[in-house]
Amino acid sequence: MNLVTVAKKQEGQVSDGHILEVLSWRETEAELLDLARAGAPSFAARFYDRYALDVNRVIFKLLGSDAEHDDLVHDAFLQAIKAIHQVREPDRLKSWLISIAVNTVYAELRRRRRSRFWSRESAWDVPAVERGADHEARQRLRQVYQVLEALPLDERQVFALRHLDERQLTDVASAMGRSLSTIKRLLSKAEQRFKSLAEHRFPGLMVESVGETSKSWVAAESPEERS
Amino acid sequence: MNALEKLLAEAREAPVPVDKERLVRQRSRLVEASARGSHRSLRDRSPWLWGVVGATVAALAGLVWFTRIHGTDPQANQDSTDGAAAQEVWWSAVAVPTQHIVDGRGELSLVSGASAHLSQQGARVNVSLERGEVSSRVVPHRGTAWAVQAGAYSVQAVGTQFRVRHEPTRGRLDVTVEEGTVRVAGGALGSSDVLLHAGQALHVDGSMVAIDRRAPTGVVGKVDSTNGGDELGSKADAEEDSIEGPDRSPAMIRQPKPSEATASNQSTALSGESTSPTVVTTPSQAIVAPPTDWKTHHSQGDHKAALEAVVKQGFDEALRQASCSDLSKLADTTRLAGDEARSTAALNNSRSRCTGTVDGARSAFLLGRQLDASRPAEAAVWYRAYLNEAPGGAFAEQALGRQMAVQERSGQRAKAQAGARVYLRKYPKGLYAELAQRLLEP
Repeated sequence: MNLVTVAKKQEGQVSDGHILEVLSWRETEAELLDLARAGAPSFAARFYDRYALDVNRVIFKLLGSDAEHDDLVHDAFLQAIKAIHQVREPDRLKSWLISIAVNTVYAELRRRRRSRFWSRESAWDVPAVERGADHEARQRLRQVYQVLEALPLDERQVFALRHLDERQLTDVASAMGRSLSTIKRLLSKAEQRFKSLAEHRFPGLMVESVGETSKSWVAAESPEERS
Repeated sequence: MNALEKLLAEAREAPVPVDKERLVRQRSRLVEASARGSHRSLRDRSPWLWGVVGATVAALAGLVWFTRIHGTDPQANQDSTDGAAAQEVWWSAVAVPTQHIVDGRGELSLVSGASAHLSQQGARVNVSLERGEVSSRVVPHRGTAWAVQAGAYSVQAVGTQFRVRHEPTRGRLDVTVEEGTVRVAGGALGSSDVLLHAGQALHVDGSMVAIDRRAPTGVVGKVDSTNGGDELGSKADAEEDSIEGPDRSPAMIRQPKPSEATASNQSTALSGESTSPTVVTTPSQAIVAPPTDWKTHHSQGDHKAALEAVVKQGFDEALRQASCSDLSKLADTTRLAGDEARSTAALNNSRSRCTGTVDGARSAFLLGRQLDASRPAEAAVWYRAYLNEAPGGAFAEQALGRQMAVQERSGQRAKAQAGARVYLRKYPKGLYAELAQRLLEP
């Protein structure tokens, strides 16, 4: 009995009440893709179960606490399920899904900026809902995302993926569908702009000089990224 | 570390605000959308933009319908129904009730907040009510087939006016007939169907179905005697008798046959017994039994009462609504009440929905325990699943010990010995150490 047959049998339940061994199985990415190709009804649930925390995390890191967080997670997964047949290499499934989540957030941010343009709101007016340990920490987190809000979208994404989600530059490049050199260039600009905006807008946010910051960020790159 | 780095480090450490309940909500929503085949977001990205789009679509739709109603002869339409092209439209009443005139055959009104999918092919009108309330007024015409689908239920009407309210998340359905006759089928009604006349109503709450016969039966509304409505009405009356019998004494309770139970009833499939709903009919009032709280009984340790309560409430519905933590409780309470089949169903449900959580892992262990004596090979798989998911969990030692025991009993000696080595390394003085040593003896 092949995997997909087993999975389908499991979903339909068997009439004699026999519990299939397969219920305990945690599928590999390749098996998950097989389920998708076979149109297994449980694919969406299994796909979600496997990557829910990853998608929630990256969306949170990109946007901060956001009223539309759940909608964006939903959209990212739905888009991925719709396009799952595009994935050829199972071991790229997760990075592919993350790139969809990143693009979903990107589209949302672009929509919001357009909306703000017409309504003449300022980036600093963007409401943010934070949860955190204490009021001051919440306030700082809010300010970090307010500064991010003022960065160009590409730079914002690169900065958040690198410094808030702690992704390797190669992962950032993969998630954003850009070359490593482009990502490095965007990151450098984003870091300078973030620093400048933070100092200008929230002087109390950083009380010390950040002159060495870029160096330390570069030093944090892996050998692979430096090459 | 400079100030900026400290700031970013603090931002990095901000916890992702995703708890178990939120994950369950996201998952349910995704599974529902995926099952519907709806690959688009329903979120309201920009209310004003959607408002403009909605108004434009409504205006165009209104123009089309107006043209159809006033530009064509209804009779001619009626005669050419079979060859008519199908029309489909998604339809939502976002903020205000909306009305839809269907090709001179009737009217539909959506109460605000409701959404439905409307398809029409000639005289066949099908409304798939996603959620909320829809009112229908059907103009009598020979051959008109007008149906509202709400979840697993189908409400069919000829020459009638009726309302259907559907709350899929709560498993509730209310059908109220204002004029004429409708036939309700599907869902917990199994292979039966129920005819409702003017003034009558049907209420579904989980697997409990109640029929409100406040108005005298046989009061069929304005059914056009020239269009087949009478014929259908007569047949309906006859069928009604056959469904509910001639005796309409108060609080007549009927248990449908096991074959009428829903085919997808997992607990039925597992246990082989019926979990069919109770259908209550009275001539004077609706009886929808108030849901008894099984959790209260569970917390009081009265598992028999908890089992009775959850069966009465609708076990399948309880399964559907339960959080991961509730599924664990449900599995415990049914197991302790002696209903192994329902316990297994709850555990399977937990495995299906809560894998990756503490409750999901615990369910794997309990499934292993349930099969320990009767099907040791399968029990071993469950113990292994638990160990994979919760290697440091509360039952880890037991799972490892029991796994090697059931492996030995099912003839998997090599695997049992491998497990024994691990067990002795981790728990040299554990409960199963003696068994492990014996397994490793030459």
